[in-house]
Amino acid sequence: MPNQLAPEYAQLVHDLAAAIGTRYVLWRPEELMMYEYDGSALDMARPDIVVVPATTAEVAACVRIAATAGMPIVARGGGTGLSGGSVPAAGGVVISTGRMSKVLHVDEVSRTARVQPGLINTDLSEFTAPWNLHFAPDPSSQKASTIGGNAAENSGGPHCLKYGITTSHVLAVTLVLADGSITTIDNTAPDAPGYDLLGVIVGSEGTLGIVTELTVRLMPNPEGVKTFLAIFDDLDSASDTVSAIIAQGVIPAALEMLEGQGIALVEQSVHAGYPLDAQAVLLIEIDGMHEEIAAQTAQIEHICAHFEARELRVAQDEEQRKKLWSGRKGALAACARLAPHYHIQDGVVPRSKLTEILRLTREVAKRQRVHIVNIFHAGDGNLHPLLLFDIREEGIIERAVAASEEILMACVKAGGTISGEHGIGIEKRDYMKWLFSEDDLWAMRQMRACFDSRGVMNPCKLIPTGASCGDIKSARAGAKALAAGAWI
Amino acid sequence: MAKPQTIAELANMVRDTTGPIVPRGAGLHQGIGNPAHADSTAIDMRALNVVSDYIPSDLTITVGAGMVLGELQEQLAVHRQWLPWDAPQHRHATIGGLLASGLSGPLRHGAGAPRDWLLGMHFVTGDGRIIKSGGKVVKNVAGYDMHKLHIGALGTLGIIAEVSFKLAPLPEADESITITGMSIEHAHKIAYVLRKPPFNPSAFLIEATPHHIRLWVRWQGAAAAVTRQVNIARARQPIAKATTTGSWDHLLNTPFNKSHGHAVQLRIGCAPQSLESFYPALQEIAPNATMHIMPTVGIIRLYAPQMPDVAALRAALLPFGGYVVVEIGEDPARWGPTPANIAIMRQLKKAWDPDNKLNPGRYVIE
Repeated sequence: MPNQLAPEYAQLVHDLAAAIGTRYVLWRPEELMMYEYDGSALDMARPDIVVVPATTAEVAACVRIAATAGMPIVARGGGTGLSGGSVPAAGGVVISTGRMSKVLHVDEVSRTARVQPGLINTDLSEFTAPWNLHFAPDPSSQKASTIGGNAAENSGGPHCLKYGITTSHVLAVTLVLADGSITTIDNTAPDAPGYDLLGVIVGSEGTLGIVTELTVRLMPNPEGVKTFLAIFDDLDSASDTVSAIIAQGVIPAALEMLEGQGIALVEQSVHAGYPLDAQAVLLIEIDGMHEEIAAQTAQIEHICAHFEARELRVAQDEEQRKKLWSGRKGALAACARLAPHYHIQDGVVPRSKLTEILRLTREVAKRQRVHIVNIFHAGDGNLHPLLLFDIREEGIIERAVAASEEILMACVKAGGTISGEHGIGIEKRDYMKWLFSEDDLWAMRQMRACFDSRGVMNPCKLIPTGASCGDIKSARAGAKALAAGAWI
Repeated sequence: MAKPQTIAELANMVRDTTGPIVPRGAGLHQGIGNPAHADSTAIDMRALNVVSDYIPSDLTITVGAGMVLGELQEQLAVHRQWLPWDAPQHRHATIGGLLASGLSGPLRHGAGAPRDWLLGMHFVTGDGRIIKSGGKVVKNVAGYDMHKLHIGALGTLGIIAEVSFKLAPLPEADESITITGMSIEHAHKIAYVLRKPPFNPSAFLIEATPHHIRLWVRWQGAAAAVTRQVNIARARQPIAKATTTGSWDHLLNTPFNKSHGHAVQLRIGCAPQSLESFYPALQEIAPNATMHIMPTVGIIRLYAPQMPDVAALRAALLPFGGYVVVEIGEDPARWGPTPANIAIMRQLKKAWDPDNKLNPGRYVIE
């Protein structure tokens, strides 16, 4: 590979290096390679330059320089995203938050923490444990994903069932806008005059600006936690159990399902104690006051018995609880045993439609001859059909995409949506038209332009665009192998 | 007054109206903000009050914005569900009006703000387009959360036509206590003690009038858990008295009371950690006001016969990043200093309401 800088970028690299230091400006092909993909498998694109600034001022300087040069600008945290959000679809400059990973301040009275965007999700809750406080959003990638990335994607996680998704936990951000200016959007004094811009920043997938500091809400640790594993010989009974738990007014802290082949795959890899022959298992966690736990335990036992669960196990201690969760959180990597390549969907259905949609998923898998494993947030109705295949098999990518689209379309028809927590990014951008009219998309484009009139921030993402994004280097033919570092 | 029966009719009305438009629910909070433009056409939203989608087992609902919040709660209670949103005058005010006015109540401590329960919205822009944002399911990251922009926007960015919420199961038990006879500072301290484990309350309010100061605390949830917390609280605070949901309602429905001579309503916001430092100035500047303080949320509503020295209040709050809005009452500096990011807000207003039809002059964005 050539180890020389393309002449058209010489000035740009020089300017960026002057702003943040030579060692933090990457441009050699071998340096750029690891920035060309995220946790999603189907889309890859190589950035022209990667910068790793250390401060808000340095991010602003990089944005100013890149924007002046007409380069697209893409922010990147842990790179664990599942919709191509940090993949530089149109090339350009990737701004990594890797050197901005500090907890700046914890306020016990307001129960907030001020953090840098590159802070790893679990590092925050570990940091705040002495105050008996934690950061509630817990995407399965939480040991590698960053708070900035969680905010960009409005990430979910198992415990969002009870505590809400990331948008409810972000109170203020410092934002670098497309022209390199720095602003703050602050809801720490609640209901201040002016439109709630923070409401659109969280979940904007880096298309409105780059967040360089966040104030997030911390939640008190619950008095007690109880974790169950319910084992079923029949998929319908498991999904009926989920619907019944919600319908009876029990909101568990988390309500997760693994079904079909996924159970054995996870068990062989993680040894969490899941029975190899079960058709479905539910991981049910309740938390709160001791009396609430007692009352909900009785309800859950009753419902599981009614739907003929083979067995209902209870984690007896924290070690057993962690073991049960390790099966869930390590599920995606475990499925690498079945096939080397994967594609994950993230559709949501109303919870009363779970049984129906899971049946359809099985039918589609059979018809399209693709392995589909569902490991997902059942309590939210948020499916994660994991399509597993080997791209060396002729026609398999087309069949996998067709299967995935059929399932997503069924979610939309059932009154649901195309993404519950992974984001739209590149991958689902063209499906936005299934949900939104031209007028709806017009309103989104207009709003985006108020922040970034030239469209330099993460172009070609989220909203279907016209011809200008036609030259994206789609790497669908080269789907990447399932890596140990991917989570759903 | 124009009264559209469908969202399509509403959109047509907006498109065909040439002058300023005031969207209107029950009209209970029309006094908030700058007065409406004198030549405005009012659009009565109350016919758009239909529940279009409610499957109780999904714990979600989609309803017209003209629905009265209290009526919705009655329909939900049949299925032992509710929306934990105790906005002022919720028995009579419409959901759209309460959202547009940015009103919520003390339950915000435990349940979060309405924005945390709002899943999606249909709104009508100034040029008469019907725009959908969000959806009907509990998790959805497709597109920007444009619906959040309309909360507190006084109808200036679009008319809220239909909304989807997630719902909560009705708590098994709901018990409250009040503690009377202490300073605001002391009430604040007690609230923070009653927030620590084993306590997990759902609401706090410090009610301060010229005659008394009273701390209200509410617990909701499993009966045995609520009973334990109330018992421990009463053992530690022997002067505490039990109170009822009805008393909360009464308190929240009549704070701005013309018969008490109230002519002014202020909204004061500041991060909770700074409230204690602000109380001395607050009491010195507004000694005769009635106040509802949410000590853990950081919002104070102040009701008074005459305008206090708002500039002095703002000066006292300045070090803490707080703000004062004159919700009701004459004040040339109603909104305080120009908000950060006003340029983005103005552009957005211009993009979605190009002819400045929607409640022109009413809000901080001009």
